[in-house]
Amino acid sequence: MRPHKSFIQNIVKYRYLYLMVLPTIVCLLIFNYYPLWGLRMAFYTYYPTKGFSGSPFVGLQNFVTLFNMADFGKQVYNTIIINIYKLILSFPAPIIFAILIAEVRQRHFKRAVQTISYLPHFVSWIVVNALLYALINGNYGTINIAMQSMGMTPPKWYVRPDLWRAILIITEVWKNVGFGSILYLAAIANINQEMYEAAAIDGASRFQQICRIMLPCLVPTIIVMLIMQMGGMMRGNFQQVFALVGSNTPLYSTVDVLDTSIYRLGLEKNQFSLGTAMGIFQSAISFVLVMITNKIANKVGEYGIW
Amino acid sequence: MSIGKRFGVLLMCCAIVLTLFAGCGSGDNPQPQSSQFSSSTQSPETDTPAQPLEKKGPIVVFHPFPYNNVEEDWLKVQAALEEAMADNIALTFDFIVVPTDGMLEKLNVMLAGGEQLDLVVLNPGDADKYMTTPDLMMPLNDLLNEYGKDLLENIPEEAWIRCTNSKGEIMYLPAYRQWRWQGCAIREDLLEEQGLPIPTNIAELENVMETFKNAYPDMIPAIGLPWFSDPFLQGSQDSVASWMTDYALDADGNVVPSRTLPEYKKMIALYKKWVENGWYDAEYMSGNDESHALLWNTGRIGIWFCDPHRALDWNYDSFKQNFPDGKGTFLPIPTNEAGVKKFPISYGVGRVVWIKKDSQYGAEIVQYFNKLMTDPDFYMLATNGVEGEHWVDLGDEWALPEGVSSDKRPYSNLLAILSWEFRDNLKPARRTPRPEVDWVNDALNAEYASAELILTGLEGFMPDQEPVAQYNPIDLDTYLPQVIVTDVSIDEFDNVIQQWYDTGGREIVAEYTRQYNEWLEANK
Amino acid sequence: MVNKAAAVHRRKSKWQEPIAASRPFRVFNTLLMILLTLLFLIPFLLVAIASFTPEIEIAAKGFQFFPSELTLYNYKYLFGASDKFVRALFVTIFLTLIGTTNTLFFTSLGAYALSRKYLPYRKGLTFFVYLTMLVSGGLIPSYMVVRNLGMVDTLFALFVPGTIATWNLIIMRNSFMMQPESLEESAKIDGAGDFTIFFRIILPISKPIIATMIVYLAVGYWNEWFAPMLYITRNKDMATMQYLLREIFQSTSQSLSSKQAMTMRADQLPPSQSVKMAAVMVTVVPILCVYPFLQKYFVHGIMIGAIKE
Repeated sequence: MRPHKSFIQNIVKYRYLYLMVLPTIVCLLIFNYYPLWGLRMAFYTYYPTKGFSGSPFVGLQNFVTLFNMADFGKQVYNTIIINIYKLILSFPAPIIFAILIAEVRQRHFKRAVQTISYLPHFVSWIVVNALLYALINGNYGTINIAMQSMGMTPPKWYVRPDLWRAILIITEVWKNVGFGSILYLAAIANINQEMYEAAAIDGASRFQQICRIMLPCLVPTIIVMLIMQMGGMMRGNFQQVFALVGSNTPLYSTVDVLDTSIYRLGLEKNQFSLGTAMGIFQSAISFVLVMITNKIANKVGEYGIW
Repeated sequence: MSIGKRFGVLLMCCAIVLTLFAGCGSGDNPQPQSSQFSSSTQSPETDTPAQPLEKKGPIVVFHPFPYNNVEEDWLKVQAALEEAMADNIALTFDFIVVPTDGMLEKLNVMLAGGEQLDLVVLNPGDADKYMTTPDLMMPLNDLLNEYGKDLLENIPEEAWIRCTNSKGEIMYLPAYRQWRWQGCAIREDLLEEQGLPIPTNIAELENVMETFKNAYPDMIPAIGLPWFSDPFLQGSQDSVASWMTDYALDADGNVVPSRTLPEYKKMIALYKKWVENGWYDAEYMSGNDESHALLWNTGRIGIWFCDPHRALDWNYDSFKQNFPDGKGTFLPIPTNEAGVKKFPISYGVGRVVWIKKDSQYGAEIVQYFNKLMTDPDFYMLATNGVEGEHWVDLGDEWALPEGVSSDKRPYSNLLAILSWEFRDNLKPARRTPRPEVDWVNDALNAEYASAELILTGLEGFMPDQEPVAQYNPIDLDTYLPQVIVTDVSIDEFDNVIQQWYDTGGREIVAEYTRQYNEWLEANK
Repeated sequence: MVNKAAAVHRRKSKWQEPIAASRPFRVFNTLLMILLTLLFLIPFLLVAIASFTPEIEIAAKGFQFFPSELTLYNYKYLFGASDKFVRALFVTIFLTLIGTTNTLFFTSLGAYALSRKYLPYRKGLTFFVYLTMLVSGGLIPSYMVVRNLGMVDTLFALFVPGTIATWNLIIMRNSFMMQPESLEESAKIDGAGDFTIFFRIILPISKPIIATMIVYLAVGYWNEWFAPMLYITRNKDMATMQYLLREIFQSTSQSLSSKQAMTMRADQLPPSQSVKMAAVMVTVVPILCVYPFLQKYFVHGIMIGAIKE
């Protein structure tokens, strides 16, 4: 057990390490913590030209406005449920992809696959929207035509809200699986190769090696990523929904998320105060979720972030 | 060398280069020292009896529409303008040109940061968002009366209505261009093939749609986004209500969103009937201008509610690539039962400027725009640039110099900020005549001018939503289209409206009506 | 002495094939990879081909693999649209280099310090760092801080606020934590200080994760346009390439507020879709060219030698 030392003694003893972390502290204080003071915007009707002294203080009214939004409950529900689906489907995808790539033998093929898998990341959602339209629009969509030639009737995708959560998830997987797998590939590369050899000598198949060696070594990384994902549970992917759904309002019942609805609200009303209030709400929920997840992670095996 | 050392060396090199960069960056900073520039070109030999005026400004202009303007070129034009104004207005400029994407964020941080701004250029819709901020915009009535008489006289009344708030204060200076963008294009060649005349009312239109549906199974008979189709069709239903009309008066004299009026149910029923009959594409809300344009160009649309210029002018070449014998035209406004064409009021205002309240140069700014209005050479300079370099004088017309294509002009319109089509027409651009598309704009204007105006009675009244900001009823944009495209009965419309009232609409209506009555009293 | 210890662990052998998986699995894997490659590649190919297609073709026929005509017009339009393009390119390259280095340097230092389990107040500090990922003050407060530091209209505003990348810090800290403690212990016995251990031992071993961070950071800086838009008002010499591209595409990406009529003149229509595709290519291709040089760091594993856990 560490003997309790005084604060000064600790700093002096580990002074080099604290020196290393000093820029981090200073930088975060200046650029992240100090601006938090601006969060009080949520309690005012903030006018940028008048500043805080000139803007009226309204207390919790912005939050009342927010929660009284006619479809607030539905938007919260959509946000959460889409994020849960993404957790189950979109979160494991880069991991699995990384493992599969790591198993490819031919070096050049592996490199080619990797590089190509990053391409979707650079295609902006607006372009994805154009591509998606070319695939599933009711008039000449490639997928529709393919379905017809196989004897099936393609659905009218753009008026079927029930299909769109899946579409959002699939497109997000497509876009991010390659780029997101870089991290896991790095983690895989970090694993001591001797362990595989030892296991092989003991008669383990490759599959067993993956399960018993690779995955456990990846667990710390996965858990950290998982905790951070939980921090985003209340946040929707604004860019994606905005680009793919846009003003196609019949779909809003299933895919309109908090971020897009606040954006629309902010177009008409005082966007600063409302947007900040929304941000506080999302952050508060995220905070609670992250605390819970972190505690669980710590209980399971000291995997928590702090 | 260890990695640590490598890092350190790299960092030091970057630091050195950075200092050089930053140093020469600020040196290159093109803060236009235009006042010195133009005063240095003022030849001392010109002996004007009056002293040259002291330079005013620079006024800072926030301009989020860069187009292809090149800084070097606009600085030249700026210098020329400042020189031309030197005797009477003596204004100097400082243009802040930013990309349109993210312009509101940029404006907001500039306002919050207390940056000096004098003039802000925006679309009217975006400008409206700032209208209610107290002490932000300068009311212009007095300035216009004193310095902007020609602006008041020449810009049509409807444009000024758009720029005035409920208190009667004129807050914007408008551009003016009657641009008919809510209309309907049709495949005239297919009409002829089917032996049908151009439809002039709803019944005939439906007949055409049915014929198209049967004769051309691979084609969508009709499609369009509601902000095009509603205004085009509402006259035929004698409806004041439409997607593009925010507020109207109901039977009891209350101020309500126009689409909550019972007469909008007729429009919804119309669309619903069309969707059920397979005449109108159920996926209409999913498209945008470009995707619909592609459908038109590939012959998959028979009737397209759109900006007719898009169908008949901008996409003419693409369309002709696929259909050399194809022909498109725009539909006349469908008549109502009495045979009368009606169309909602169109303000003609596509861009506005507003002056920041604490600007010291309000008078000079209004004078500047007034001079643009009255002085044709000045206007020409500001709109098209330096003669000889940016445009070539052809007497009654002008043209771009050799080798400059119209989509890559290094200078267009930036310093004029506003443009008025009646001024543009004084000396129009000579374009290579393209008879196949040149007829569109004039014909459209003529057609729409022939329609009776649909007025809501609320013209000039803009409700202030501050008092009811906390009420957020359901979004009609979301719920009403669902009545059209899903299987529910048309009476679902009543449920939607009722829901709107129940989720906060009632309070909003009460407040707006109160404001309206006050406004009526004040304007007796 | 310290170097020798490190050298033992840095012994890079040639890529030694771990024991191969079963044959059917490998065949399935290869097929799957081919399928996925097509899925990723085809849409991108469409974009690439569209960038060489004249606008009139795209408006007439949409995305196609074999347009009847190919042209360089879109690229000429982009490069000729602004005289500042070359300058913006240099600014972007410079920003990417210095931003990535700056962020990587300070973030990895902080990550290393926080990865030492014996550091007092470690949990508190990590929480302090992580919390910034959950709450944000918003656009205007952040802008005001930068402005009050006098960084507006300078290059500093584009990378100094991003000196510490929190997400990257957490990940790197995690990765450093997973390195065997014995390395550090034996180095300490040899009398190495913290900085030496970090730069000479931990960092060389952590090449995969560092390379990963370089990729993520560099791509982020390369694509940066929002920060220039906020912080650069007058000093257009500091514009990045992405910012310049936005200036060219002056049509707003929003379609939600289509209620406003855009009464533009026909000769001021925003550039066409094909030019936008060219812009995508101009952004992506340089990254693809540079990336292979980094790839080797996290494809091949590193043999860690004698010391057993």
